[in-house]
Amino acid sequence: MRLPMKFQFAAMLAAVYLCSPEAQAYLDPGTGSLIVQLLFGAIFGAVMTVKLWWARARAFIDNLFRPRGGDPE
Amino acid sequence: MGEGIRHPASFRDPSGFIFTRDTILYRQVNTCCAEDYDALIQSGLYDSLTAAGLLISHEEVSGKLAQSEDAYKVLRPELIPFISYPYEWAFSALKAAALATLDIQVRALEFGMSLKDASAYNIQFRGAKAIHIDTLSFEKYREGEPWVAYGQFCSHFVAPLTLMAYKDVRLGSLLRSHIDGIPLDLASRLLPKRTYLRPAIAIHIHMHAKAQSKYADAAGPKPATKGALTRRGLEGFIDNLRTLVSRLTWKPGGTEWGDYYIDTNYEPESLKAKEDIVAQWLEKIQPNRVADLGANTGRFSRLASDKGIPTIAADIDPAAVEINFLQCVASNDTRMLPLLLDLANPSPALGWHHAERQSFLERGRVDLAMALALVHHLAISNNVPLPLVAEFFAELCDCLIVEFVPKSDSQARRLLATRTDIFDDYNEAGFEIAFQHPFVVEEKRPIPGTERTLYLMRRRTSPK
Repeated sequence: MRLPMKFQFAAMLAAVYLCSPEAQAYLDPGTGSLIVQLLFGAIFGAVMTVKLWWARARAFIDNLFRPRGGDPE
Repeated sequence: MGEGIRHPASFRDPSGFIFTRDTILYRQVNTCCAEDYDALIQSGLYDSLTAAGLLISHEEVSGKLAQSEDAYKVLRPELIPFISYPYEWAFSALKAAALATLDIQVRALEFGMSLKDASAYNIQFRGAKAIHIDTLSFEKYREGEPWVAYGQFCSHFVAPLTLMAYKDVRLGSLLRSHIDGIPLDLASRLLPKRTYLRPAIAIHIHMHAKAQSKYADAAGPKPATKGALTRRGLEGFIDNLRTLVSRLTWKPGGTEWGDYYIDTNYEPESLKAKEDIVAQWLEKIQPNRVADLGANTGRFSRLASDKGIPTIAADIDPAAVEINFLQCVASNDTRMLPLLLDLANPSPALGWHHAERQSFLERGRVDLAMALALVHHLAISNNVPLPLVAEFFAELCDCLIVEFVPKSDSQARRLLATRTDIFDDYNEAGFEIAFQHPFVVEEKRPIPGTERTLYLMRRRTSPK
């Protein structure tokens, strides 16, 4: 069962705030900047996956049609 | 222990700091950063980045040079010929610095590490090549964590670049008043509404600004984000930023002096004669470092940089500096650094205690300065009296190649066309009197086919 968008977002915010920090960064990452990454990270990750698969598919197809080694004449 | 002088800008990151001792620059690595520093070296990331020219190299030196008890290592980094700041860079230079930062982050992730900051001040230039100078900017990547430096990257790079590309290239100067990067809410307000239709700008600037504003006062524990963003998600995020930055363009349009060499009263023979004189004097002086002020697109600066001399080519015109930078990229020039600089208002000392960012004069001392077709702009357009112009150059350089352009010259007439001539002392005799106070004239050569004169001068006394 899918939760409504509003609840998904609230759950994500809770996840952000409830865990204890691990990194001892000297820079304040800013909660807003973290939220943006969490919001769009999954989408950009999916795009990245498609790009990688597309690159592999193209390499595979290029390889199929590339003339095999042999006498250049 | 502790005999060095700590750099006044090196205090934000507790991982270590820069100091000088006996005029040699060192970096102390503190024990709190030992694990991350060792990971940088042992993972192979350091070798990979230095081989690609993306990270400054260093050698580990004796621990006796340590400045405090908590020292883990002391490094002696390779030196950069001239330290410059983002508000002095061409559009394409800032873009190259942004792309270098992202390339470093991508490579760091491959080696299980991540950039813990993304300050534009961590990037310097060797010619047109951007290089990261902070060895302690790396930490171990923790699977599932977002990029801690994302907000800083957007303020230092994405905001100024989008403002320069979509609004006005002069908005890059906002980096001078905001040394921690341009606030995203300001960038969002200044950018045209049409940028909301560009998804990447809408996310990284507009929505990002709103998110920062919404959670600015959020109370409670610091957010921890273990497992919140997958590695592939982070890689996708960096890739999206890279696509955004790489597609940002700015084309130099109508430029004040950018087409100077076309729109000039110089005949080709006169230009060649001027080049020959400058080349002869460069040969005579044999400088180690040159600053060409009012360099335009760097035609005369190249006489120095082509000899392998580190050369700053500074100009007030963003278009000229951009064209010069692109020429340096095309020719793979590693000696020339084109910089945006208004000599009537040069880069001041900025930041904490007026010492985090040095003024241009503090950084710019050179053996030889060139001021070709420049003095009439300072004296007539900016009303700077000639003795003050001479004093400025005496503080900047040991030797000076300077061109005097009389009022009868078409370019000087252009400057006087719309204003009253209040410059009674602006003539060759007045020029020589003003400059002969701090300098000795070694040679004086008229430029054939023009009314202009070139002088080679040497400073009389050591600077204070």
